[in-house]
Amino acid sequence: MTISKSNIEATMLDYLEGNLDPLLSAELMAFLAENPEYENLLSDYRDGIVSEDTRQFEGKHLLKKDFSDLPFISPENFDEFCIASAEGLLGEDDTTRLAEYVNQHPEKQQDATLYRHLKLKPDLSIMFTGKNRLKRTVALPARLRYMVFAMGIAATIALLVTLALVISTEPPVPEYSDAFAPAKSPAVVSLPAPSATVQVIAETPEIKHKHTIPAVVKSENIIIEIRKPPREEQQISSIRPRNAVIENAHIPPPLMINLSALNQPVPAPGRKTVPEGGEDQGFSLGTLASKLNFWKAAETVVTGFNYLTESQFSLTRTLDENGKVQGLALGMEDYSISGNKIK
Amino acid sequence: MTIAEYNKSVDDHADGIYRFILKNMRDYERARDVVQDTYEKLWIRISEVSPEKVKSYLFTTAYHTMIDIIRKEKRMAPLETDRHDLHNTGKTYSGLSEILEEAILKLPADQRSVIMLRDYEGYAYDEIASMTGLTESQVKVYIFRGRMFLKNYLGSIEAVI
Repeated sequence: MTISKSNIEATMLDYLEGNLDPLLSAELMAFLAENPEYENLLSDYRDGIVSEDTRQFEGKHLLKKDFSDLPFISPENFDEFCIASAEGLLGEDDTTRLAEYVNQHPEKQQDATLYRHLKLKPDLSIMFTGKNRLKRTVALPARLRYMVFAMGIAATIALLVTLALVISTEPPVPEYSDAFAPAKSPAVVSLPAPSATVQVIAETPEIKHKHTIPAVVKSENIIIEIRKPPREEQQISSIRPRNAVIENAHIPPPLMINLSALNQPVPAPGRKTVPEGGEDQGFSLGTLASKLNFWKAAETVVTGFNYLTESQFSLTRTLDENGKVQGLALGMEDYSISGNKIK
Repeated sequence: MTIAEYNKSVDDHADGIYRFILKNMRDYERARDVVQDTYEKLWIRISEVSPEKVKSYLFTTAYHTMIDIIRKEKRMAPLETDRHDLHNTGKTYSGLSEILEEAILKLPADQRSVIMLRDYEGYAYDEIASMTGLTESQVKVYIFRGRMFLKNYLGSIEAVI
């Protein structure tokens, strides 16, 4: 573009508004240098351009109105006054004015009363149930959660093993001969308390079943009297008091027991010999397995797992008439797995 | 905001928010959903919300969640429809509060919400304005119109009784 006297004004305005590219700006400067009479025009234009106006009207608050600015209460503004009064927006003077107006206009009394009663009151009987579900606990990082989980399982297993060890270290009960013969002499038992009640385990040959029979220790040379035999028609084939060593025994009729061999404990066939001292110091997995009740162990593990992880697992089993396990079910709060079925 | 402060906000404000939403939506399940959504949103922004502002944040969030649901489901009955049978309900009332509860349901959602925030929770006009996204002047106008309507409704019912 060539700047000339015909377009100099428009070019200057573009320049002042920043719309001119550098080439044209340079051309304009060159033109002004050649035609100095236009320089004054440029400064006039510059003065005329107004930048963003940030001026504010300082008397705004004077224009605003309040209820006190209303010279009188009329039917047109009566509702507004009543609502303002109920909202607590009226000053003392305006409240007095409103009361006077209502006194002078009895027909407005009902409206004024209604406005005073328009405040809603919350129904406090309505409550949100289930707040606990909204609450949060400290969230552990995933790695830490797995660590806690593993530690929980390890602690549970350690507890079970400890329990098994404690059970296995109880003094074993000596086994005696199963031979059958009439009693000859009373049994003498060395016990810490001469007058204590002891439990005597008696076995019958027919059913090979153990019965626990209460017996009474009478003196220092203790005579065990079996007060309640398992069944009178059954003959007891062996007798072994718990936590005691029998030297001799006297069992009154009709219970006929071979007590001749009771002076020397004889291990029962197929059973482990009890060493002198009465304790089996050895420990094997077989012993542990025989001591552990796996169902109780499983229940303990589930309980421990629930405690550590705040879960609600449950383990239930179904037994038949003979006490055999028919089914297992693993349940949670919302579903359960029983056999192959998920409910 | 700590987890303890978050849990305290559940104890302190869950009931109020639930009542506010329930009165607006008249739907127990939806009201429960809104409360749960509101606290979910608070949990996400727990580090940004201070304990002093938590009540305002909760009510604001609950209000907007509710409005979104209402708009989506178009559950709002037009005020004009309700006004047709305004004076012909034939219902018996046991007290003023019962009539008020019925009357408030006939207000448009905006008016109803600002009046509830004002009366139930005692918020100031500017607080209600920031919660609802209205201007303070709009809040005043809505409260004025709402009160006028309630007064007229109450007057008409009293006249019938």
